[in-house]
Amino acid sequence: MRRALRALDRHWFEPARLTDLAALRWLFVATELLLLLWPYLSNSVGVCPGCSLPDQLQRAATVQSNFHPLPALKLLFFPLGWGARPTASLLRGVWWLAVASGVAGLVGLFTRPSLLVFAATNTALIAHDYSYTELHHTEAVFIIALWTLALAPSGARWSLDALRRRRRASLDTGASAPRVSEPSLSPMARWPLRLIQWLLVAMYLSAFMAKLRNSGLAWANGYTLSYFLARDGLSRGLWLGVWLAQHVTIDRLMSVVTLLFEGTFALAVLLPPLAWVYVPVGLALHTGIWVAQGAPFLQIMVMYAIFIPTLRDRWVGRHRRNHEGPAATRSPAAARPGDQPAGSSAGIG
Amino acid sequence: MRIQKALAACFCAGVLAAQVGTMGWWLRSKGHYWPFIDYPMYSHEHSPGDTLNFLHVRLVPCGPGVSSREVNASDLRLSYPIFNRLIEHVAAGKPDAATDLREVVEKAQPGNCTIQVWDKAYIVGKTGLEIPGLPLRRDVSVSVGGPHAPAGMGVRGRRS
Repeated sequence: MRRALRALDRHWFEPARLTDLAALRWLFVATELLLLLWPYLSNSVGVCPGCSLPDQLQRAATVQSNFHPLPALKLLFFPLGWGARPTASLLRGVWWLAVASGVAGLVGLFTRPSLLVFAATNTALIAHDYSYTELHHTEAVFIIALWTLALAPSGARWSLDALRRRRRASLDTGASAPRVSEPSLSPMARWPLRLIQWLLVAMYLSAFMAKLRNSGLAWANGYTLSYFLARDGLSRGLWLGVWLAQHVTIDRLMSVVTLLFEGTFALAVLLPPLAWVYVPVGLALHTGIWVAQGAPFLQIMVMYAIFIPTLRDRWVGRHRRNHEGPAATRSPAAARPGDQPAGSSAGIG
Repeated sequence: MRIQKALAACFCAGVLAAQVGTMGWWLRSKGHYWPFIDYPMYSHEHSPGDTLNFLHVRLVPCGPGVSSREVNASDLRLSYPIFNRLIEHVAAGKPDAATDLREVVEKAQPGNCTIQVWDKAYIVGKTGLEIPGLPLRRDVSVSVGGPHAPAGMGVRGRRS
């Protein structure tokens, strides 16, 4: 029992680099900001229709009977009244607040409050969009990831907050040049990475279970994928989808790979070397779905960056072992000179 | 640190429980609990012989000797799912849908006398999708209140 708890503790709270979290903050916030500010990508391509201001204003102008608020929207707008419909001017304000908080979160100015506002406003905008129309799956896990980064110490590095902290510390100590005084590693930097990895696992497992529940292994007969490729390819004019739909043997092979991938994605987290297989396969899968079926899962592809620290640590670890012999450390991040586990980084983080 | 860890552990457990819960009956509700949703899309099996039907909308302008032209969702200022649902309902013979489509066309593409909904079918055969599909056939004609058309005719015919 104690051993299991220790293993769990190591899995979720083994010291990790704060700079990894900072890099993810940059990547995730920049992606969402791009979607807010570029309506062509968000609305016309369909990556995140609710992120575009014109889409929001169009929704606000439609008839009341089309409005069926999701609980997430009711919760976020409850000061207006439970289930109240936001007006166009309020939505415009929420959108601008999302952009402003995103920029602040990106540069790391008042990082935690900024990221919390950024997560809340984006949740509100997308939930508002889905209160009128059928739901799509591109944004959901990414929105949870934004909340996760907001609660984690993702502004502890590469941020104006960190710069201000260092400047204050250098003034206090009288040192001439501000230096990094806090350790680069923190146990509180690991859990956000793990949570986002396990969210991806749960998402793929959900897709896998649905296929088994609705079709069983017959889902991989090739005709199923041929049908869906034809439907999406023909309706959206995608030649690759139409071409693939005409080759049932290729479709059968791709179906088997899809089922294996979705059903066993947890191995990418539990056995880190396998991430070298799962990450390229996953990226190829989503690229294929985008090109052949016109379903853009851009946010999920961006979320694969969560595996970069794992892949880097494995690669650096192997490199060191090759050069320093078997006594080299297991966790290369922890072995850098000057790095010590931090006991007191901010946050639930 | 212990409290921070405990809070983080509670947050992670709550989020994962909610996400995994969408796979079970207690939270599976067509996206009601978004962003905690299940992922059942494309999960229903298909077999050889299944057909796909695609509906196309063509507008016939008013006046003699004019040819029809195809329009899509953006031409009618509709989102793709709403456009699809609307023409599916028109093709299914729902009079309300025909009235809605007529209003949409009058607003977005004025100057037309007839809206035609055409159906193109494809079959998934033994070796995959069979190209070309079945011949195009006209499903429904809806007249629009143009200068040469009698007003309010609604759905004129099916599969003519």
